[in-house]
This record gives sequence, structure tokens and C-alpha cells, in this order.
Amino acid sequence: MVIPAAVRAAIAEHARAELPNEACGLLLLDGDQAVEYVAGENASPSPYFFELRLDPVAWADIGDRDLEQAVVHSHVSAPPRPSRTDVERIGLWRDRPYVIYSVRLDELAAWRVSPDGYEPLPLA
Amino acid sequence: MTVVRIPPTLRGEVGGARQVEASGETVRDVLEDLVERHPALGNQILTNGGIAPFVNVYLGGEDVRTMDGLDTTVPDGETLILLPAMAGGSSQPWTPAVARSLLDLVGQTPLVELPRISPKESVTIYAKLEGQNPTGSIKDRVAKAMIEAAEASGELEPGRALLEPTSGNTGISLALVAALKGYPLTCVLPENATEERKRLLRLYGADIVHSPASEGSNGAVRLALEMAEADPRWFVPFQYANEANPRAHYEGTGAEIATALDRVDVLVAGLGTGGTLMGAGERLRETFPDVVIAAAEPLPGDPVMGLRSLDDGYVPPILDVSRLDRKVLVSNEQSVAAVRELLRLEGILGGVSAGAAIHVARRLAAELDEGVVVAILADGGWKYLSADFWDAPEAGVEQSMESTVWW
Repeated sequence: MVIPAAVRAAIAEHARAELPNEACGLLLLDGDQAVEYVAGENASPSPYFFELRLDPVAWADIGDRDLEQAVVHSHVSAPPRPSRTDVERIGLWRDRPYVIYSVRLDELAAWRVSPDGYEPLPLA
Repeated sequence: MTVVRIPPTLRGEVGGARQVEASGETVRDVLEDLVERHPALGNQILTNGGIAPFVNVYLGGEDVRTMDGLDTTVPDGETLILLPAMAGGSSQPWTPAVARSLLDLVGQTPLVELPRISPKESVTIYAKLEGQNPTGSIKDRVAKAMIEAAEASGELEPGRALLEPTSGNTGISLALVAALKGYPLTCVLPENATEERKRLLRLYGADIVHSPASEGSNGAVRLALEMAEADPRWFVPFQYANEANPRAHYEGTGAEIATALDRVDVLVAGLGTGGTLMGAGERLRETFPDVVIAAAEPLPGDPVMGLRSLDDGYVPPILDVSRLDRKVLVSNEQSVAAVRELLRLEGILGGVSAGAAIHVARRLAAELDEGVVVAILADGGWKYLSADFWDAPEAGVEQSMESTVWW
């Protein structure tokens, strides 16, 4: 997966703005190329938890563009690895790209998560 | 006919279509019709007669769960939107191998099994060892949360000084946080608080103002509030009414237990400010809806150090008694017997309120056929070493604790 610097900066900026809580949003991908970050709202604002909320009509419209969607969320201090909660709650997003940004480490990482675990997706 | 917009994550189940049609008068009818037309959607949309956990359903831009749920009427020509729900998070603070500040080491306390305390093999009792916080008690969580919340809201700024009525653990915890953040702290405490406590507070850098011994802890509260009224320089965190107190237990204590364990049937904590029971209780209820939240409450007129009887007349504003499933009265003698047994059987040196929690945990464990009981042990016994009860004969325990305010 390729995340250009501008998109990466948008994710980091949103994550810092949401401190002390976790931030979340959607990354839109054209093939393996990230083209846009859509900042979402954390419906359960907490330093240790997120629940992604976006305007449902806007989100459905995004779904009609021919782009892959990846959920993005921040970990305030933990490394950018899926937590047990992330794995348990993966739901319909299983086996899709999943991106985590660690604010403390200023590190971005991508994964494929299933209820049984996760594997890294190489990032460029 | 109702148009249903399908998210990319579910399009494989409807032959790749972006939207499909279904009919019905309510959301339930429409979704049932949808599943009938596209059986592959099956329990990804509806499970056990409800909306599946990982799907959100919107009508007119609103989540139907916030309307009448599946019974919400679908007006003709309206569009239903299905979206994949997404939640997660780091779920607990991550502790680096080397901490930058002692404040980073507050919380993330261990849970340990107590096989020798449990009355039966089929019931597991776990103790959450809050004595392992930096100053040795659960109040580190509360002090840090109250100060950081006040800083974040702008209420607490450099130049102000902290004032709190407390002779106990909260004072010591506030003293640590205040020292590291650069605020002076004054504690108001009854004159007859133990020398051990006063000495500890002074060592941690707090100033002490005495309130009359005859008025007990309520007198300390009265004097602190009077002082704050007279001088706006004081900031009084006031743990009994500070929402950051239960929040610290919701986000910390409770979340840590919910992450660590797959099952919790009973949570036991001592009743003091109510912060632990409210915050950790609420968090555990979210993960384990049938969990019983049980308060260990001292017998009226028989004070257990660190705990509060509601019959004494003061109900802390943060405490909503209706959120407690059980209140179990525990005597001083039972608490002390339990704390001694905890040390003898499991090697844990707990404070007296930990003894009260263990006594109640054991009693409720005996009522279960099987399950998991978690007892929160608020502090260790180190600060109570000058008390006689450790080695007094059982019958002498009462007299050894009557005349001193500990907490």
C-alpha cells in the first residue's frame, strides 16, 4: 500500500487534534494507492477506544465511488499494532486493509485483520 | 418498494449491486425481505431477531437504533442505508519499558487469582492489586484524572494552589501529582488523624490544616469549602463530587478488568466516594451485561477505615445508589479477620478496606454455583502497620480501632 506524504500528514494532523482521545476516519484507495483521507468522528471519545461515525449519506456515496475503503484510527501511545479490541471488533472489515497511526511514535502501519489475528501489509 | 444502499463490504452477497430493492412497512419487514431475496446476507444483517452487531442501518440519515429500532416505520420511497460498523482502539494505555514520569505508571495494576480464599473450586476470585500504584493506592488514578481534567478545562492554571479535605490516600496521591506538576497542596484533616498519615503527607510535600477532631471527616470537608470560598486562589478537586473520579475508573480500572478477563459475574469494591463502583461498574456492564456490582459497606456506627456508611448521612454526589446491584454490610471485625487471612493464605498485605472487599467477595462467591468474582483491593497494608489489629487476638480487634480516624 502506498500512502503519499500529504495523506499521511492529514491522518497525523487529525490524530493530534483529537488528543487525548483516539481519532478515526476512512482512507480511500485506488488500487494500492491511497488517494484521500476522510476524517470521521469518534462516537465514543476515549483515549483507548473509537467508534467510527460519518454522515451516512456521504459514506454511502463514498461507497459508490470505485475506491477501496480502509478504516484508520489512532493509538494515543501504544504502537500501531491491532489490539485485542481491534481484532474482536473487526466485523465486516475483516481481511480488508486497516491502518493505525501511533501519535506517540509518529508511526503509521497497515494490516489485514481477521477475527483470528492479523498480518502486516507493507507500506510505502 | 424501498431502495437499500449496500456498502462495498456486503456487495459480494448481492451480486455486486450498489443498491437493491426490498419491501415492507417497518425496518424489520424490509430487512427480512432483503435477506429473503439475498440469502447470502443472512445473519450479517439480522441475528437473534435484532440488527447484527457489525452493521448500522440508517433511515433518512439517522441510525434506526436511535429511533424505534427494527419497528421504525419506513415511509414509501425512503432509502435505507446499510453501513459497516467499525469500533476498536488500543483498549488500554500502553506502558513503555522506561517511563518518563511516575504519572505514566498510574494504573495497569495486576490481577491475581486467590485460590485459597475462594470458598469453592468452581468459582474463581481475582484481586485487583491497586496497592501497586506509585503511592500505593487506587487514589493515584483519581488524583491524576482530577488534576489533568482541571488543567484541560482551563480551571487549573499555574499559580493556583490545591486544597482537599482528606487525611488518607487521596491526599498522598494528590501530593504526588501536585509535586510533579508544580502546584502547592494543602490537605485539611481531622486533628486526630494518625501521626503516620500526617508524616507521609508532609514528606510528600503537602501542608496540613487541622479541623476539629470532634467533627470527623465532615468537619474537614466543611473547613476546606469555607477556605476555598474565602480565597479564590484555592482549587478544590473534591473527589466526592468530581466526575473525573468515576471516569478514571471507567477508562482505567474497569477497562483493564474487561480487557483482561473473558467473564466477570461479580465486581466487589469498597464504598468510599463511590467512584470505583460507578466507573468500573459501568464499564464492566458494557462488556458483561449481567455482572453484579456489589458494594462493601461498613455497618452504621462501625467505621471500617477508608469506607463510608451511607447511613452516616452524606451521599457523595457522584454516587448513584440505584446503579449498585448489591450492598453488603461488613463489620470492622470481619474486615480485619479477612485482611489477616488474605495475608496468611495468599501472601497479600492489604489495607483494611481490602479486607472488607475480600469478605464480601467470598460471601458472594459462596452464593454462585460457578463463575468469576473480581475484588478491587484499594491499597496495601503498609500504611496501617501502627494499628494493633494485625496481631491482636480476634476479640481485641474492635477496641484497637475505635478512637482513630484513619482515612
